[in-house]
Amino acid sequence: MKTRFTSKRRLPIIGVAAALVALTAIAAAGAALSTKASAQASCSTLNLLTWEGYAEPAAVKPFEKKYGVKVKATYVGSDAELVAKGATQKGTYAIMNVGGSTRGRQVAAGAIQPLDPSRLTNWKDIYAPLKSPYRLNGKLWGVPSDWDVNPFVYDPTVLKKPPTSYSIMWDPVLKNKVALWNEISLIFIGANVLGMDKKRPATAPGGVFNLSDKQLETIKAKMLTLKGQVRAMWNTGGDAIQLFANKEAAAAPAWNYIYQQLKAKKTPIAKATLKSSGAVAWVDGPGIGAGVSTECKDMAYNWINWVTSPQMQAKLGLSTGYSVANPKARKYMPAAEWAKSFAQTSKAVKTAIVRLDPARPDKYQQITEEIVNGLS
Amino acid sequence: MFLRRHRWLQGAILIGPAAVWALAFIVVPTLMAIRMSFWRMENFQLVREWSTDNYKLLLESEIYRDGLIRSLENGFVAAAAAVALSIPLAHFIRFHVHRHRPLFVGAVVVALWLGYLLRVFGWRIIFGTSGVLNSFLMSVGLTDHPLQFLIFSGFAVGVTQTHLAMPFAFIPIFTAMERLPENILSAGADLNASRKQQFFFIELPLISRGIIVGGTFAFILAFGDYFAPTFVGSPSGSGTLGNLAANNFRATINWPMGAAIGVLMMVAILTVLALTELISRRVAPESRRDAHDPIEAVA
Repeated sequence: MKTRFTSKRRLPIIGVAAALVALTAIAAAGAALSTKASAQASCSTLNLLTWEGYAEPAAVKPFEKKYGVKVKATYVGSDAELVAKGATQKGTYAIMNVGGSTRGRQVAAGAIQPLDPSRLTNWKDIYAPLKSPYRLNGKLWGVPSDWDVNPFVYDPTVLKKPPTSYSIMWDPVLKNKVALWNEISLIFIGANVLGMDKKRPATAPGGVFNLSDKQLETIKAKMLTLKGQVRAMWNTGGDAIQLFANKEAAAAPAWNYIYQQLKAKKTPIAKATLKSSGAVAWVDGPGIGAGVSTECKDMAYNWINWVTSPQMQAKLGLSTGYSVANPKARKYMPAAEWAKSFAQTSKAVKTAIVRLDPARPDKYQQITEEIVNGLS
Repeated sequence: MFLRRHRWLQGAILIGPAAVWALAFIVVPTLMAIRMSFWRMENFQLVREWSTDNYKLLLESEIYRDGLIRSLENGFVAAAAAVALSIPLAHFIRFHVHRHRPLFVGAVVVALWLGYLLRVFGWRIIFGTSGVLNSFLMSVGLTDHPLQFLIFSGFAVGVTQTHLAMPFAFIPIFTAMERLPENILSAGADLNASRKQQFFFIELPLISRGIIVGGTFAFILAFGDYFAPTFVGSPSGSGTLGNLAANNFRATINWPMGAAIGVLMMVAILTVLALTELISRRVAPESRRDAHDPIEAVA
């Protein structure tokens, strides 16, 4: 009787367990089938992991029409996010932005694959000084498409004179009016204000990309004195645009894309390139993600050649405000715009902190988080 | 007939789907998260070696310590404010609204129909520097400049999270209040208790379980919230545990650390639940609950 009772009591449990196993098996089979199907299918969607501004309709729409593919962009808000997403979602993104400040980590994590230069139709035309960061371990990992010296964006009704250095953020007139990017560039800005960015090469110990713990603590202490000046932090270009458009912020070390968008919205906005003191500069370009299908890899080459072509470079340069990497785009740009972008950036970049991979990215990230944590 | 003979099958059919659901989507993922919190990431690869490093970092890092404090503050402020607003509102609807009571209750609950993001964004529009409230205050001459504390501040987070949590606090409190026996309240009045005495010494103790449940719901909601502190909070306001966990999963892809933060949040919430249970036992002891248990209504 006892045995019979026990077996009766156990039966529902066995039933539930069997159902669970069945459910799990169905889910696993579904996932496997789905993966297999997506791997076998032709490249109907070209997934991009990139920054805002690099998948503008002006570039995407005609590309989709020409190649019969859907372009889907996922935007990142920081280098750390770009590297981490690329490294952990291999096979998802056929096009991955490769920056001078991320390429070392992306290569080390196996997130991107080397490129075949013979398939890059515009490689020979790319501005030569931009090419070197993309060669690593004897291989080519991306094609520069955009570069810039990040401007200091401000509301001219609040700041009457153009600022000449990041020190303006400590000015009482900007009390509670500064917006900061929640990203490791906070360290570069602090280093610049404290004069710690002059050592060359910048990747050598003591250089801005290889600062010691003591230097980082000094920078953190300096940046924390911005408490009271900072109105809000922003994570994406869209956040920063909203802050200026709604009059919440009056000054920010920002991007030209943000400036361009605000100008288009007729928001009172001005920018300064901080030529004398130096600002943060960067170079970006598309690379190909590891583990993608052959079809998507072919499509990725099409995209790279598309966005580095002179015509598309001009279009994107005018839309984002970033400097083009292919000087042949000059033919398709108004002279004034060319002078404001490529010509001006070539000069400003000489005093700028051109971003490269930090020697200790985790430490830089930790200090950045500590700065943000202490700002209010 | 078959089912009547095999009663265990009836039970399995009734409980089975819910049990499978709970097991597959609550119990198993929770256990997996706990297990993962003892692993680590190395070069973006999950290293399945047991270690307490994540928990050591949680205890030692000022970022996580401040994150816990901020989350607790957010939770307690929202719970206290939502309960403080819900009690008089529930009292008013219970005793002074007779014909259109469902309409009044619906007006509170309807907030849940609006999307979470929309409700948060609404406060940014209201409190913004050039927002509705500042524009109004300046137009009537109450201030000559926009009030800065309204947005990107602890105040903004408190108001927004109170608004988000309000329906969850209100429903248990109102349900408890609706089940108050009229005869007990009448007895108080017959014994010459003033309205104030009736409220504090009769009504409030009898709805205490509803208050505790409502406050707990509000606390949990605000404690784990990660969007409102980012969207309307101060520059450091986004450093809540919810946000730190989200960043570890979404941006820096450090799942074990994110899982450890999740475990810390679970422990914090369970601690608060245990404390509220202790308080409720003191405030509403068994004998009183035997006589009338408003919590039954909530459950």
